[in-house]
Amino acid sequence: MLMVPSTWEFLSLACKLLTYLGAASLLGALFCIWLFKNETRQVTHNILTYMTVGAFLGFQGALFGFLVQIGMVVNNGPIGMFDRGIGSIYLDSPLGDTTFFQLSGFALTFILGLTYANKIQRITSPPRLDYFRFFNTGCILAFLLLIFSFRFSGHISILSVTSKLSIAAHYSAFAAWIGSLYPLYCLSFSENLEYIQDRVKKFGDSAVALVAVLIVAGGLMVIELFDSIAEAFSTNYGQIFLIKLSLVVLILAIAAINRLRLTPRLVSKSGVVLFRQSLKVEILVALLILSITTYFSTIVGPPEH
Amino acid sequence: MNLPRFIVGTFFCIVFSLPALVSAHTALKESSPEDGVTITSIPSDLDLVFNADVRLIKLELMGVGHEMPTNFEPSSTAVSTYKIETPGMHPGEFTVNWAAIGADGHTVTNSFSFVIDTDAASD
Repeated sequence: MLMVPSTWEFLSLACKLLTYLGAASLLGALFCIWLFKNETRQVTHNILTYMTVGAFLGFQGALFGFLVQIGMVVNNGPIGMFDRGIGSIYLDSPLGDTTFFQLSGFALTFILGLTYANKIQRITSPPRLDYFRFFNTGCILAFLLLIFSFRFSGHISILSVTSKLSIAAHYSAFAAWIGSLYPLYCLSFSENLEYIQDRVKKFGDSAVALVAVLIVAGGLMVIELFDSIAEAFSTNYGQIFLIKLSLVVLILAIAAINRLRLTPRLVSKSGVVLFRQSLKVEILVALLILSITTYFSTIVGPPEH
Repeated sequence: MNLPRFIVGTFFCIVFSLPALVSAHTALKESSPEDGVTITSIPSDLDLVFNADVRLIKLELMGVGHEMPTNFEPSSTAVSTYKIETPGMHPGEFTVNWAAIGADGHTVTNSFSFVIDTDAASD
Protein backbone atom coordinates (compact mmCIF):
# COMPACT_ATOMS: atom_id res chain seq x y z
CA MET A 1 0.00 0.00 0.00
CA LEU A 2 1.42 3.39 -0.96
CA MET A 3 1.85 5.80 1.91
CA VAL A 4 2.26 9.49 1.18
CA PRO A 5 2.35 12.19 3.87
CA SER A 6 -0.33 14.88 3.67
CA THR A 7 0.78 18.35 2.56
CA TRP A 8 0.91 19.59 6.15
CA GLU A 9 2.84 16.52 7.29
CA PHE A 10 5.26 16.96 4.41
CA LEU A 11 5.81 20.62 5.34
CA SER A 12 6.30 19.60 8.99
CA LEU A 13 8.92 17.04 7.95
CA ALA A 14 10.69 19.54 5.69
CA CYS A 15 10.86 22.11 8.50
CA LYS A 16 12.25 19.59 10.96
CA LEU A 17 14.84 18.46 8.42
CA LEU A 18 15.96 22.07 8.04
CA THR A 19 16.49 22.32 11.82
CA TYR A 20 18.59 19.14 11.76
CA LEU A 21 20.67 20.48 8.86
CA GLY A 22 21.07 23.81 10.64
CA ALA A 23 22.36 22.08 13.76
CA ALA A 24 24.69 19.91 11.67
CA SER A 25 26.16 22.94 9.91
CA LEU A 26 26.78 24.62 13.28
CA LEU A 27 28.54 21.74 14.92
CA GLY A 28 30.28 20.63 11.73
CA ALA A 29 31.71 24.11 11.15
CA LEU A 30 32.83 24.39 14.79
CA PHE A 31 34.44 20.95 14.59
CA CYS A 32 36.29 21.79 11.37
CA ILE A 33 37.58 25.13 12.67
CA TRP A 34 38.86 23.39 15.80
CA LEU A 35 40.28 20.41 13.91
CA PHE A 36 42.01 22.27 11.08
CA LYS A 37 43.83 24.73 13.33
CA ASN A 38 45.15 27.98 11.81
CA GLU A 39 43.35 27.39 8.53
CA THR A 40 43.68 29.96 5.72
CA ARG A 41 41.40 33.00 5.80
CA GLN A 42 39.53 31.95 2.66
CA VAL A 43 38.81 28.44 3.90
CA THR A 44 37.75 29.74 7.31
CA HIS A 45 35.52 32.31 5.67
CA ASN A 46 33.88 29.58 3.57
CA ILE A 47 33.27 27.42 6.66
CA LEU A 48 31.75 30.38 8.52
CA THR A 49 29.52 31.21 5.54
CA TYR A 50 28.35 27.59 5.43
CA MET A 51 27.52 27.76 9.14
CA THR A 52 25.66 31.07 8.74
CA VAL A 53 23.54 29.78 5.85
CA GLY A 54 22.81 26.61 7.84
CA ALA A 55 21.71 28.67 10.85
CA PHE A 56 19.44 30.77 8.65
CA LEU A 57 17.80 27.64 7.23
CA GLY A 58 17.50 26.13 10.70
CA PHE A 59 15.83 29.29 12.00
CA GLN A 60 13.31 29.21 9.14
CA GLY A 61 12.69 25.52 9.80
CA ALA A 62 11.99 26.10 13.50
CA LEU A 63 9.75 29.11 12.86
CA PHE A 64 7.75 27.63 10.02
CA GLY A 65 7.60 24.27 11.75
CA PHE A 66 5.71 26.00 14.57
CA LEU A 67 3.36 27.75 12.15
CA VAL A 68 2.79 24.55 10.16
CA GLN A 69 1.65 22.75 13.35
CA ILE A 70 -0.96 25.47 13.86
CA GLY A 71 -2.00 25.29 10.22
CA MET A 72 -2.29 21.51 10.40
CA VAL A 73 -4.76 21.71 13.28
CA VAL A 74 -6.80 24.64 11.99
CA ASN A 75 -6.81 23.08 8.52
CA ASN A 76 -7.95 26.23 6.80
CA GLY A 77 -5.17 26.70 4.25
CA PRO A 78 -2.08 28.87 4.76
CA ILE A 79 -4.05 31.56 6.61
CA GLY A 80 -4.79 28.98 9.32
CA MET A 81 -1.12 29.06 10.36
CA PHE A 82 -1.75 32.48 11.95
CA ASP A 83 -4.77 31.50 14.09
CA ARG A 84 -4.19 33.34 17.37
CA GLY A 85 -6.26 31.06 19.59
CA ILE A 86 -4.49 27.85 18.60
CA GLY A 87 -1.20 29.70 18.35
CA SER A 88 -1.39 30.88 21.97
CA ILE A 89 -2.12 27.32 23.15
CA TYR A 90 0.89 26.04 21.23
CA LEU A 91 3.06 28.81 22.68
CA ASP A 92 2.24 27.48 26.14
CA SER A 93 2.86 23.88 25.11
CA PRO A 94 6.12 21.85 24.84
CA LEU A 95 6.24 22.83 21.17
CA GLY A 96 6.40 26.49 22.14
CA ASP A 97 9.32 25.81 24.49
CA THR A 98 11.13 23.74 21.87
CA THR A 99 10.65 26.42 19.22
CA PHE A 100 11.88 29.15 21.56
CA PHE A 101 15.14 27.35 22.30
CA GLN A 102 15.69 26.41 18.66
CA LEU A 103 15.08 29.96 17.44
CA SER A 104 17.45 31.29 20.11
CA GLY A 105 20.17 28.80 19.20
CA PHE A 106 19.94 29.46 15.47
CA ALA A 107 19.72 33.24 15.89
CA LEU A 108 22.86 33.24 18.04
CA THR A 109 24.65 31.03 15.50
CA PHE A 110 23.61 33.27 12.62
CA ILE A 111 24.88 36.41 14.37
CA LEU A 112 28.18 34.78 15.32
CA GLY A 113 28.71 33.30 11.86
CA LEU A 114 27.92 36.55 10.06
CA THR A 115 30.07 38.62 12.42
CA TYR A 116 33.12 36.41 12.21
CA ALA A 117 32.78 35.82 8.46
CA ASN A 118 32.96 39.62 8.03
CA LYS A 119 35.75 40.04 10.59
CA ILE A 120 37.95 37.43 8.98
CA GLN A 121 37.95 39.29 5.69
CA ARG A 122 39.63 42.26 7.40
CA ILE A 123 42.60 40.42 8.95
CA THR A 124 45.80 40.04 6.95
CA SER A 125 47.08 36.67 8.17
CA PRO A 126 45.53 33.24 8.87
CA PRO A 127 43.49 33.42 12.09
CA ARG A 128 44.97 31.74 15.15
CA LEU A 129 42.81 29.43 17.19
CA ASP A 130 42.52 31.90 20.09
CA TYR A 131 40.97 34.37 17.66
CA PHE A 132 37.91 32.20 17.90
CA ARG A 133 37.68 31.97 21.69
CA PHE A 134 34.53 34.08 21.99
CA PHE A 135 33.12 32.53 18.82
CA ASN A 136 33.65 28.97 20.13
CA THR A 137 31.99 29.80 23.44
CA GLY A 138 29.03 31.40 21.66
CA CYS A 139 28.62 28.48 19.29
CA ILE A 140 28.75 25.92 22.07
CA LEU A 141 26.09 27.92 23.91
CA ALA A 142 24.01 28.01 20.72
CA PHE A 143 24.31 24.25 20.31
CA LEU A 144 23.40 23.68 23.96
CA LEU A 145 20.24 25.69 23.34
CA LEU A 146 19.40 23.36 20.44
CA ILE A 147 20.16 20.25 22.51
CA PHE A 148 18.09 21.59 25.41
CA SER A 149 15.09 21.92 23.10
CA PHE A 150 14.88 18.10 23.04
CA ARG A 151 13.98 18.21 26.73
CA PHE A 152 10.55 19.57 25.92
CA SER A 153 9.19 17.55 23.05
CA GLY A 154 9.67 14.39 21.07
CA HIS A 155 9.26 10.79 22.06
CA ILE A 156 12.48 10.82 24.07
CA SER A 157 11.32 13.80 26.15
CA ILE A 158 9.04 11.55 28.16
CA LEU A 159 11.60 8.80 28.74
CA SER A 160 14.40 8.47 31.30
CA VAL A 161 17.40 10.72 31.92
CA THR A 162 19.60 8.08 30.27
CA SER A 163 17.59 8.37 27.07
CA LYS A 164 17.73 12.16 27.12
CA LEU A 165 21.49 12.15 27.63
CA SER A 166 21.85 9.49 24.95
CA ILE A 167 19.95 11.48 22.38
CA ALA A 168 22.01 14.58 23.21
CA ALA A 169 25.23 12.62 22.64
CA HIS A 170 23.85 10.88 19.55
CA TYR A 171 22.59 14.14 18.03
CA SER A 172 25.89 15.94 18.77
CA ALA A 173 28.10 13.22 17.34
CA PHE A 174 25.98 12.88 14.19
CA ALA A 175 25.81 16.65 13.71
CA ALA A 176 29.59 17.02 14.08
CA TRP A 177 30.28 14.16 11.66
CA ILE A 178 27.70 14.95 8.99
CA GLY A 179 28.11 18.70 9.34
CA SER A 180 31.82 18.33 8.56
CA LEU A 181 31.32 16.47 5.29
CA TYR A 182 30.43 19.52 3.21
CA PRO A 183 33.46 21.58 4.39
CA LEU A 184 35.59 18.51 3.68
CA TYR A 185 34.09 18.26 0.20
CA CYS A 186 34.94 21.92 -0.45
CA LEU A 187 38.49 21.43 0.85
CA SER A 188 38.99 18.61 -1.65
CA PHE A 189 39.01 21.15 -4.50
CA SER A 190 42.35 22.54 -3.31
CA GLU A 191 45.29 22.20 -5.70
CA ASN A 192 47.57 21.15 -2.83
CA LEU A 193 47.29 17.34 -2.53
CA GLU A 194 49.38 17.19 0.65
CA TYR A 195 47.00 19.69 2.26
CA ILE A 196 43.97 17.61 1.28
CA GLN A 197 45.47 14.41 2.58
CA ASP A 198 46.49 16.06 5.87
CA ARG A 199 42.99 17.47 6.47
CA VAL A 200 41.17 14.28 5.49
CA LYS A 201 43.45 12.16 7.66
CA LYS A 202 42.89 14.45 10.66
CA PHE A 203 39.14 14.27 10.14
CA GLY A 204 39.22 10.49 9.76
CA ASP A 205 41.18 10.05 13.00
CA SER A 206 38.68 12.21 14.93
CA ALA A 207 35.65 10.70 13.25
CA VAL A 208 36.41 7.33 14.88
CA ALA A 209 35.54 8.85 18.28
CA LEU A 210 32.37 10.42 16.87
CA VAL A 211 31.25 7.09 15.43
CA ALA A 212 31.88 5.35 18.75
CA VAL A 213 29.72 7.90 20.58
CA LEU A 214 27.02 7.56 17.90
CA ILE A 215 26.85 3.80 18.22
CA VAL A 216 26.91 3.65 22.03
CA ALA A 217 24.34 6.45 22.46
CA GLY A 218 22.14 5.01 19.73
CA GLY A 219 22.29 1.58 21.38
CA LEU A 220 21.18 2.99 24.74
CA MET A 221 18.22 4.72 23.10
CA VAL A 222 17.18 1.55 21.32
CA ILE A 223 17.23 -0.43 24.58
CA GLU A 224 14.84 2.08 26.13
CA LEU A 225 12.52 2.37 23.13
CA PHE A 226 12.07 -1.32 22.39
CA ASP A 227 11.06 -4.01 24.88
CA SER A 228 12.29 -6.82 22.64
CA ILE A 229 13.97 -7.47 19.28
CA ALA A 230 10.62 -8.73 18.00
CA GLU A 231 9.18 -5.23 18.37
CA ALA A 232 11.71 -3.98 15.84
CA PHE A 233 10.09 -6.27 13.27
CA SER A 234 6.47 -6.23 14.36
CA THR A 235 5.84 -2.50 14.84
CA ASN A 236 5.84 0.32 12.29
CA TYR A 237 8.34 2.28 14.35
CA GLY A 238 10.59 -0.77 14.50
CA GLN A 239 10.44 -1.36 10.77
CA ILE A 240 11.41 2.23 10.03
CA PHE A 241 14.17 1.95 12.61
CA LEU A 242 15.52 -1.09 10.73
CA ILE A 243 15.61 0.94 7.51
CA LYS A 244 17.55 3.63 9.35
CA LEU A 245 19.89 1.00 10.79
CA SER A 246 20.58 -0.34 7.28
CA LEU A 247 21.50 3.15 6.11
CA VAL A 248 23.72 3.63 9.17
CA VAL A 249 25.57 0.40 8.35
CA LEU A 250 25.95 1.66 4.77
CA ILE A 251 27.36 5.03 5.81
CA LEU A 252 29.76 3.40 8.26
CA ALA A 253 30.98 1.16 5.41
CA ILE A 254 31.48 4.19 3.16
CA ALA A 255 33.35 6.01 5.95
CA ALA A 256 35.55 2.97 6.52
CA ILE A 257 36.35 2.75 2.80
CA ASN A 258 37.18 6.47 2.76
CA ARG A 259 39.52 6.13 5.71
CA LEU A 260 41.22 2.84 4.89
CA ARG A 261 41.29 2.76 1.07
CA LEU A 262 40.75 6.22 -0.37
CA THR A 263 42.63 8.49 2.06
CA PRO A 264 46.02 6.82 1.30
CA ARG A 265 45.31 7.42 -2.41
CA LEU A 266 45.02 11.18 -1.95
CA VAL A 267 48.46 11.55 -3.51
CA SER A 268 47.13 11.87 -7.03
CA LYS A 269 44.37 13.90 -8.68
CA SER A 270 42.50 10.74 -9.66
CA GLY A 271 42.59 9.69 -6.01
CA VAL A 272 41.10 13.04 -5.00
CA VAL A 273 38.34 12.72 -7.62
CA LEU A 274 37.48 9.24 -6.33
CA PHE A 275 37.44 10.49 -2.74
CA ARG A 276 35.21 13.40 -3.72
CA GLN A 277 32.71 11.04 -5.37
CA SER A 278 32.69 8.84 -2.28
CA LEU A 279 32.06 11.91 -0.14
CA LYS A 280 29.08 12.82 -2.32
CA VAL A 281 27.57 9.38 -1.73
CA GLU A 282 28.30 9.67 2.00
CA ILE A 283 26.54 13.06 2.13
CA LEU A 284 23.58 11.61 0.24
CA VAL A 285 23.23 8.65 2.61
CA ALA A 286 23.55 11.04 5.56
CA LEU A 287 20.68 13.11 4.16
CA LEU A 288 18.58 9.95 3.78
CA ILE A 289 19.32 9.00 7.39
CA LEU A 290 18.34 12.49 8.52
CA SER A 291 15.15 12.30 6.44
CA ILE A 292 14.13 9.00 7.92
CA THR A 293 14.98 10.19 11.44
CA THR A 294 12.82 13.24 10.80
CA TYR A 295 10.00 10.99 9.62
CA PHE A 296 9.91 8.62 12.53
CA SER A 297 10.49 11.31 15.13
CA THR A 298 7.58 13.34 13.76
CA ILE A 299 4.92 11.10 12.25
CA VAL A 300 5.39 7.73 13.95
CA GLY A 301 5.67 7.07 17.63
CA PRO A 302 7.54 4.31 19.47
CA PRO A 303 5.67 1.18 20.51
CA GLU A 304 3.43 1.68 23.53
CA HIS A 305 4.57 -0.09 26.68
CA MET B 1 25.17 1.99 -12.62
CA ASN B 2 24.69 5.40 -11.01
CA LEU B 3 25.13 4.58 -7.34
CA PRO B 4 23.54 7.74 -5.87
CA ARG B 5 20.39 7.27 -7.97
CA PHE B 6 20.25 3.61 -7.08
CA ILE B 7 20.43 4.40 -3.38
CA VAL B 8 17.75 7.09 -3.58
CA GLY B 9 15.50 4.91 -5.70
CA THR B 10 15.82 1.93 -3.36
CA PHE B 11 15.15 4.16 -0.37
CA PHE B 12 11.90 5.52 -1.80
CA CYS B 13 10.76 2.07 -2.95
CA ILE B 14 11.19 0.74 0.58
CA VAL B 15 9.53 3.73 2.23
CA PHE B 16 6.55 3.79 -0.13
CA SER B 17 6.01 0.06 0.21
CA LEU B 18 5.48 0.34 3.94
CA PRO B 19 1.89 -0.12 5.12
CA ALA B 20 0.02 3.09 5.88
CA LEU B 21 1.38 4.32 9.16
CA VAL B 22 -0.69 5.46 12.04
CA SER B 23 0.86 7.62 14.72
CA ALA B 24 1.43 5.61 17.87
CA HIS B 25 1.54 8.66 20.13
CA THR B 26 -1.36 9.96 22.17
CA ALA B 27 -4.49 7.98 21.33
CA LEU B 28 -8.19 8.13 22.09
CA LYS B 29 -8.77 5.22 24.46
CA GLU B 30 -12.55 5.33 24.38
CA SER B 31 -15.38 7.59 23.37
CA SER B 32 -19.08 7.86 23.91
CA PRO B 33 -20.64 7.34 21.46
CA GLU B 34 -18.08 4.78 20.30
CA ASP B 35 -16.62 4.76 16.83
CA GLY B 36 -18.82 3.06 14.26
CA VAL B 37 -21.86 2.45 16.47
CA THR B 38 -25.52 3.21 15.80
CA ILE B 39 -27.25 4.62 18.85
CA THR B 40 -30.98 4.90 19.34
CA SER B 41 -31.16 7.88 21.68
CA ILE B 42 -29.96 11.41 21.10
CA PRO B 43 -26.87 12.10 23.25
CA SER B 44 -26.59 15.38 25.14
CA ASP B 45 -22.80 15.22 25.22
CA LEU B 46 -19.71 13.53 23.87
CA ASP B 47 -17.22 11.82 26.17
CA LEU B 48 -13.59 11.42 25.12
CA VAL B 49 -11.08 9.49 27.21
CA PHE B 50 -7.41 9.58 26.11
CA ASN B 51 -4.58 7.26 27.09
CA ALA B 52 -2.75 10.14 28.81
CA ASP B 53 -3.26 13.79 29.76
CA VAL B 54 -3.60 15.85 26.59
CA ARG B 55 -4.54 19.36 25.55
CA LEU B 56 -7.59 18.97 23.35
CA ILE B 57 -7.27 21.89 20.97
CA LYS B 58 -9.79 21.05 18.29
CA LEU B 59 -13.11 19.27 18.21
CA GLU B 60 -15.56 19.47 15.32
CA LEU B 61 -18.85 17.64 15.37
CA MET B 62 -19.85 17.30 11.73
CA GLY B 63 -23.28 16.30 10.53
CA VAL B 64 -23.82 15.66 6.83
CA GLY B 65 -22.59 18.87 5.21
CA HIS B 66 -22.73 21.07 8.31
CA GLU B 67 -21.04 21.53 11.68
CA MET B 68 -23.10 20.94 14.83
CA PRO B 69 -22.91 23.34 17.78
CA THR B 70 -20.98 22.26 20.87
CA ASN B 71 -19.64 24.00 23.97
CA PHE B 72 -16.08 23.01 23.08
CA GLU B 73 -13.28 25.49 23.82
CA PRO B 74 -9.60 24.67 23.05
CA SER B 75 -7.91 23.57 26.26
CA SER B 76 -4.60 24.92 27.49
CA THR B 77 -4.69 22.49 30.44
CA ALA B 78 -3.86 18.84 29.93
CA VAL B 79 -6.38 16.27 31.18
CA SER B 80 -7.30 12.78 30.00
CA THR B 81 -11.11 13.05 30.02
CA TYR B 82 -13.30 15.51 28.17
CA LYS B 83 -17.07 15.94 28.24
CA ILE B 84 -18.42 18.15 25.48
CA GLU B 85 -22.05 19.26 25.46
CA THR B 86 -23.87 18.72 22.18
CA PRO B 87 -27.16 20.63 22.14
CA GLY B 88 -29.35 20.37 19.08
CA MET B 89 -28.40 16.84 18.06
CA HIS B 90 -30.79 14.98 15.77
CA PRO B 91 -30.93 11.64 13.96
CA GLY B 92 -28.30 11.23 11.27
CA GLU B 93 -24.64 10.41 10.61
CA PHE B 94 -21.99 12.30 12.53
CA THR B 95 -18.22 12.53 12.53
CA VAL B 96 -16.10 13.95 15.32
CA ASN B 97 -12.77 15.40 14.17
CA TRP B 98 -10.36 16.10 17.01
CA ALA B 99 -6.78 17.26 17.55
CA ALA B 100 -4.80 17.03 20.78
CA ILE B 101 -1.29 17.86 21.99
CA GLY B 102 0.24 14.97 23.91
CA ALA B 103 2.78 15.02 26.75
CA ASP B 104 5.56 14.51 24.19
CA GLY B 105 4.54 17.73 22.44
CA HIS B 106 3.30 15.96 19.33
CA THR B 107 -0.07 16.86 17.89
CA VAL B 108 -2.34 13.97 17.06
CA THR B 109 -5.40 14.32 14.86
CA ASN B 110 -8.03 11.68 14.32
CA SER B 111 -11.77 11.20 14.03
CA PHE B 112 -14.57 8.82 14.88
CA SER B 113 -18.10 8.44 13.52
CA PHE B 114 -21.45 7.28 14.76
CA VAL B 115 -25.08 7.18 13.66
CA ILE B 116 -28.16 8.30 15.57
CA ASP B 117 -31.19 6.28 14.48
CA THR B 118 -34.13 6.87 16.82
CA ASP B 119 -36.40 4.75 14.56
CA ALA B 120 -34.35 1.66 15.39
CA ALA B 121 -35.46 1.89 19.03
CA SER B 122 -39.09 1.56 18.09
CA ASP B 123 -38.53 -1.36 15.68
